[in-house]
Amino acid sequence: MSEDIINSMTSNKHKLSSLISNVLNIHVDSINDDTSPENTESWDSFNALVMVSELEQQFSVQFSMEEVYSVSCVKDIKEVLINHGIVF
Amino acid sequence: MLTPLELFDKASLTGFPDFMSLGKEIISLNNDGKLEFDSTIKIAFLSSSSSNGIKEVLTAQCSSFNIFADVYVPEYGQYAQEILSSNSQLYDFDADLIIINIDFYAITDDYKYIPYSKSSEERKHWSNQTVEFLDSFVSKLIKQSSAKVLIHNLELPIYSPMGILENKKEYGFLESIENVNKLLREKYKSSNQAYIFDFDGFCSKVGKSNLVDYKMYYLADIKIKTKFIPDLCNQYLKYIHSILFKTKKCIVLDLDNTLWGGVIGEDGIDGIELGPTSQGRSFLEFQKNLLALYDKGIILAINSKNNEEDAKEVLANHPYMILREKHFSAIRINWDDKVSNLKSIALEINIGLDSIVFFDDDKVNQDMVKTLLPEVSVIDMPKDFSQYSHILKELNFFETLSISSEDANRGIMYQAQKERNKLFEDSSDLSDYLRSLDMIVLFEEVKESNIPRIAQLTQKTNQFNLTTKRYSEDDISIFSASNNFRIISLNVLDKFGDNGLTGLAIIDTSESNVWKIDTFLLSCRVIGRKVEEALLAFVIDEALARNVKIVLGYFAPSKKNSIVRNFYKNNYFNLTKRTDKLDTWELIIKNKHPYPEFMKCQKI
Repeated sequence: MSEDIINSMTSNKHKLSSLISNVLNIHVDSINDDTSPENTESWDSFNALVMVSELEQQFSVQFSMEEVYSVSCVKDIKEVLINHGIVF
Repeated sequence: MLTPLELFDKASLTGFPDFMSLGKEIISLNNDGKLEFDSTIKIAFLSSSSSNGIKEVLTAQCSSFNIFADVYVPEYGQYAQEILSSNSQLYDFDADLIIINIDFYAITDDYKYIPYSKSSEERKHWSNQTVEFLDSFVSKLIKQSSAKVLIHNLELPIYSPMGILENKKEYGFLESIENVNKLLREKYKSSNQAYIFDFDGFCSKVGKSNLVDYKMYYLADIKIKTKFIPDLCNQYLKYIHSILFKTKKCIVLDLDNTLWGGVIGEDGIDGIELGPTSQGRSFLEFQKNLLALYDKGIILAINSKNNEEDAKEVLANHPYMILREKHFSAIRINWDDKVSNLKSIALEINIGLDSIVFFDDDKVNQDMVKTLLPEVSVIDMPKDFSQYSHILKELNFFETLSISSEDANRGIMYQAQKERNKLFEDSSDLSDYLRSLDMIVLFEEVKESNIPRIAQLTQKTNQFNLTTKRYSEDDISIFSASNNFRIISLNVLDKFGDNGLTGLAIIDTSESNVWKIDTFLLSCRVIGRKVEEALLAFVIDEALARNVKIVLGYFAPSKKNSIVRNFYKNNYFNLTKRTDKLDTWELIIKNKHPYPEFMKCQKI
């Protein structure tokens, strides 16, 4: 892998976790692939939408309604982003 | 423990989530009693669509002005029940401000999509019906509460299925909506309780085609992108500032590169940029916008490092100078530092530093004032002066809910004050000065048109205020209608002009033998002219005429009113009771009280 790709992987990971931490008001270190509405109180339906709109803004992508519905944990967010060409 | 301002500064707010977390933090700290605010406002937000985030964002934004916003947001769509049922939580909450956001989508049903299935007559009927519908809520709120009611007008769509023929249609779709807004505006034009929030204007401001995130709209009924919620709340702040009387009164301006381009000391009167050139127009229009605020009652002042002579020549003789010496209530053109000048300007025009907005292009000056005088609002002026007018127009703290004639004439009044000060400096002693003022003091019983100003005086007066009781317009109306209170105000005229309504006594007359002076105050503008003695003498005269035997006066010490501590003592009252919070002074009336010399007093 080229250094560029590794760099953007790291920066995307960082961007994603600080975004989630910011919206859900939780510590960056407590976020992992399994973080989900089930184990995170502040991940309510409104914050889920705020997260969608922040993700769209910060990664310059636009999700479909299906994609929004498909997300039930952080791992799913990554997968959706990967489908939009964002590397992790 | 952090102050609300420090919390706000530290939060570095960039996006909506930042406002949300700050708002939540403030709400929770406040619940635990860990924050102290200058003032609190209770706001109810009633909406026909999802209003998530409004509470937190409003709380966050208000904290930067040291205001705690206690926000009540019922479930969305519950606005009708909340308003129409007299025992709803809304009325228990007892808001100061009620915002009603019933948006277009909620009340138009299919009309929005297929407007031309209705006839022009039906469209007309729709307009009237919609206004009635909206007014049914406003009227009920006005009847049922004393809150200011702020109702959104309707967003005018930018799409019509009729396309370019829209404007050819008899009572067209867009016209029917425009008409709702027009009728609403007329309905509340003279109300001092109901106000229109120009939601259509707000939507245009942020961009109608960019306003809605359709995914959010279909998923969760969210009509405004969350990133615009801080902008929306910022508009509400205009009303919050004015309800709390936290509006700014004075703009202090630098000269070089602020009111004109270039440096007068180097470029000379013919070299500075001001006039109909591309560079000069930025400054010309900035001055015109300032003049418009001056006409509304905002005081202007100058704080500039320059040779006074050079700068004054521009004020007097530059052909394109819009603002002249007469527009400025205080002028500091010298080589002193800007901080001392600001302090002395505040002192001269008798306003608090927290009523001042400071415009200076120099970053060093901006920082110095920010650090040393944190109460002053320092505007971040960019190097690019083409932005000046825009920045001025974006400021949201020159708002008032009503313009009293005192406000509108304030600039002229302060100009007269400047002449008075000059006369005072030229006079050999105080009585000499007072005599030469040719004062006339007019006493007046309360009347409808004076109520806003009277309430404003009780809210704003801190120094010459014996009891510092704050009253709303409603309170004053209640006193005014009651037989148990008398409200006497005074106007001071002198050879330089009318000082406006500047003194007030509210007397509890419920006991026929004993009058109690509930409120006794004087605006800063007329302190030191013995007018207070005239007001007291008048009150005692009135008491005497009604065979009242005793007048009781009260002094409630505050942080700012120490100058009146001995007021009653100096006027022959005897102290009968003293607690930490209140002194009670008594005067047994035997004779008429002496009126001060040097002024004519009369009742109108």
